[in-house]
Amino acid sequence: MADDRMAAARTDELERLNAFVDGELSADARAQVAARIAADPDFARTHATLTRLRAGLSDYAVSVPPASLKLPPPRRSGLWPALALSAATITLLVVAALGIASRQDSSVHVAATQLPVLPAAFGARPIFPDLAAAGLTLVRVDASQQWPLEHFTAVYTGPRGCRLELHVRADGIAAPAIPFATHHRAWQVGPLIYELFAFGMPAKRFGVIADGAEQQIRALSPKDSGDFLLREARVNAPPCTG
Amino acid sequence: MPCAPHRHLTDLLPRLTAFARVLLNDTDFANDLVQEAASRALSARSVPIDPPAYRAWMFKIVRNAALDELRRQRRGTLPPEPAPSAFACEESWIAKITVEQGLASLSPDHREIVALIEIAGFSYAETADLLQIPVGTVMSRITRARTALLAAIQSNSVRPLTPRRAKTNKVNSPHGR
Repeated sequence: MADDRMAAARTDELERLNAFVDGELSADARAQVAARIAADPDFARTHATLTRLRAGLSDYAVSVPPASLKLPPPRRSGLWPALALSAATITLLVVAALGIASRQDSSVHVAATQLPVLPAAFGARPIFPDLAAAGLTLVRVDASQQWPLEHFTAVYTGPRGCRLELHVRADGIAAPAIPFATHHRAWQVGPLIYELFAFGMPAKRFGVIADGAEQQIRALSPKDSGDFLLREARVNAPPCTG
Repeated sequence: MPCAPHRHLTDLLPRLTAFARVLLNDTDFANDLVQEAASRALSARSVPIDPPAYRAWMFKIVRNAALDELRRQRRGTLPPEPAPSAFACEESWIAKITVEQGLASLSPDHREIVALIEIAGFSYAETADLLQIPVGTVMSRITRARTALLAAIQSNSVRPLTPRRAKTNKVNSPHGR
């Protein structure tokens, strides 16, 4: 118990010292830490080590040669914006007309035949929702077939650095590790597990988008997993002996 | 030269490159990624005018592109790049290698927090905002990351040089000879 308290106190003072070298403490707290540094040689040594580490990292940051920047050509002015706008409008109208004609909803269905190879563990067609209403565009769908990470990943991006990943995997396949993700929502539809990850997106916005994505996928999936179970029963059926 | 809202881009390039390099642990990928991020930024319709907001925006673009690259390559960490010939090393190279090796051994979370605070120069509040975590978590995470980095540097075969003044202290020390 006493050891735990000492360890916690040690962690706390180390955090304060780190905040001190980062210039993140209030004037009062700074004065306290400075007094401690002056009084305690061990603490002063730790402070010196942290300061040297920061200096080393700072030197490292400026020692890396910067990437050479090739600037894109300037945007054309005059008639080009108007022409581009007209072309975009026409494209949108054509796409909308095609959408209405085929009576399909706006979500992106990725049929098994469209994917490079449908992983063996997949028993249903993954559905990737349309998040355009939230300002996010589906930019890529990747298929990984390296067990145990046999899964699909859809990447959505939007303005202001927003980015989402939707991972789809069959139930029973290990979840992939997603470093740096700040928000996560998982749900299951039939035999598939959907996991939505965000990176630095405000929690409220992520919640709304995750709700929308889940609703779309549920609405577009077979009503229940009955079809899948029936197919499974057919594939794995032993001979009838009656 | 980049025009009005992008006038700070050139100044940010060295740290953006270092930031990408820490996240990806690969110079070529980092350079390509910064180039791509800069092109993306230059073609963006809406660009923050305020310099701190612009800086945060640029680092966010690079960070997202780096995450994309990491995920695409299916590599949590790349093997560290080969060090230059030992006989060609200067003092600054040794320090750089020491830092690089230490950073490469950190977990992705620790590498990211070090990159954000030490390389990108974000405050705790800015980092907390970017990662959507409380400031207290940033404080404890950077502490753990630095502790891990120091431990990694200590355990590496390449060790940081002893500062010159430490040598002087040793001579003056009553216990030293």
